[in-house]
Amino acid sequence: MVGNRSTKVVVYLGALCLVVISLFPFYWMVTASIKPFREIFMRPSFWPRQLIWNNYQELFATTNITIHLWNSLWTALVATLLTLLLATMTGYTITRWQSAGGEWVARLTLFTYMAPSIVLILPLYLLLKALRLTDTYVGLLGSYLTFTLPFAIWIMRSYFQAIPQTMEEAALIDGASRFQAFFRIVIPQARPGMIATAIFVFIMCWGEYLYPMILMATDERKTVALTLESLSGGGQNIKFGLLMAGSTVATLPVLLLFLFVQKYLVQGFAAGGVD
Amino acid sequence: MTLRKPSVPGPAHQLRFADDRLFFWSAFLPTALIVFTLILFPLLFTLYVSLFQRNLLGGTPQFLALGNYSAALRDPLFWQSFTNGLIYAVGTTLVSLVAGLAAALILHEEFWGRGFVRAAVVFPYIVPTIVVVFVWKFMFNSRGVINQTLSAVGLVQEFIPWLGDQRYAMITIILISAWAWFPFVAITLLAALQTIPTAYYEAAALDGAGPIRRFWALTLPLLAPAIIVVVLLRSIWALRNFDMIFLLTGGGPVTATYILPILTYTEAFGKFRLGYATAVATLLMLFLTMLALLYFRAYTSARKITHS
Repeated sequence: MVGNRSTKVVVYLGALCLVVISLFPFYWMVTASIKPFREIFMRPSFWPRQLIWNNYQELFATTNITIHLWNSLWTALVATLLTLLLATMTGYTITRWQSAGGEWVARLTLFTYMAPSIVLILPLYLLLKALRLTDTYVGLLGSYLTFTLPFAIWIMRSYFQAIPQTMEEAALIDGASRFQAFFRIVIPQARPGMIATAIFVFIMCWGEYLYPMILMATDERKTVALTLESLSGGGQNIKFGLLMAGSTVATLPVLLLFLFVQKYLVQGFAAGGVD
Repeated sequence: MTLRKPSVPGPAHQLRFADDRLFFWSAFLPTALIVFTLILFPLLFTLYVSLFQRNLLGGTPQFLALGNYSAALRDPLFWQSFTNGLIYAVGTTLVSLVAGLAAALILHEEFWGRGFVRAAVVFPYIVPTIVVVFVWKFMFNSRGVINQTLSAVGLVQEFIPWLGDQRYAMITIILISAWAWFPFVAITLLAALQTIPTAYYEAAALDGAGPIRRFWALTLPLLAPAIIVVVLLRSIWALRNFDMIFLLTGGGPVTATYILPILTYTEAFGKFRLGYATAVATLLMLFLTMLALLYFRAYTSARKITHS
């Protein structure tokens, strides 16, 4: 083909740009967390000349970040499991009984997902306050479900649409119950979709800021996004080294998850057309 | 017991088998209950509250009918927030579309290290918003790496306070949001690119079409449905987004980056004017609903094209 070599050059240059744009901020964050202050602002250094760990010591000594990390982790895990259970069954139901109102429910689901969280937080706050559920984990998990559930149903629906019905039909006709057919035949086929959905939901909950910020008052019950927010106070005198240390710690768990399940994540993007 | 007739498998949507009804309801009821109590009922309640003058801290609500709405529509800050929201949505969508499309085209080529580059591109997407905000605040700081680099190569004479200057705040926010969101565009469009048969390209190459001509005459028209879906989705997302701008500038400097979600927040949790805040929220919701309806139409027709 004509221009093959120049195409190659363009592709490699473009790929290099993509890597730099995507990863440089991350590199800058990690290195800033281990650089002394003068290397951060006075004479910025690309390669840290001197490594210091004060920021991490200060982070773990002066904030409740350990507790907050744990809170973020377990609430995100519980929300993910709940969401997955509910969304898988509902997603399946609305796909298989499409004309029995399933399509209508699907659209309603997406509509509720598009409701801005800032719109929902006002009445939800009043509701949870009336039920005495503000500043509790039950209330927080409930608020997570408001965005994870519609999202997960929408994605699972598109996975179920792609799974042919013939196998489960055959099982049903052979006398299997709907539950057996669902758990033994449909679920194994839907597994990649379920994994992708679970990862997305976990990531969403892990970094969630607005709901815990409004709902949680006791420091021991807060999540890691709020630790970071508390570090960012101080106007002009923000301790950026400390803040970057906190940011690094908050990113690490999702980064590890990402390295293991990257493949499913990329598939998941393609499935729903919804992020 | 229902009599099963295996010889005549009817349409799948009917509750045909004995335990279908049980399955249907046990799958459907818990979700329906949660969605109704935690989402639909609160949204309806929002509509109701927006008809009153109501203080978040208590006191007797006073019925105003549509008073809050007419007050909002006469409020210059409401309209400024609305326009800012549009600028922000168009800006982030455009930048992340161009960057995402370029990334998708590159990732669609075969080259050494493609897997790594694809992983790198997805990475910004998984970083929690609050981390994105602080890292970029740090980089866009007046003495941060961006100003240092720009002045080192001689592009700026003095350091620009990117987020603190009314002239630059919006464009800075747009760029940061686009960084966080272009991975989504890239991977979605990459998936769409992979559905285009290679035979088309071979035929075009045989006819002597160069890479640029192939892009405009072949790739872009075939990608159009996917692009429309992505654009609508990204715009809706930008318009409903709260944390990114709230954490970056809080709507400032002054009101240069005020958007409707921030107006809603400050009215409700800053001034405790719940009725007015919910009226603003409802107007925002109304606008988003119209965009969502457009999205449904585009999504359905895009599916029809790719599945036919």
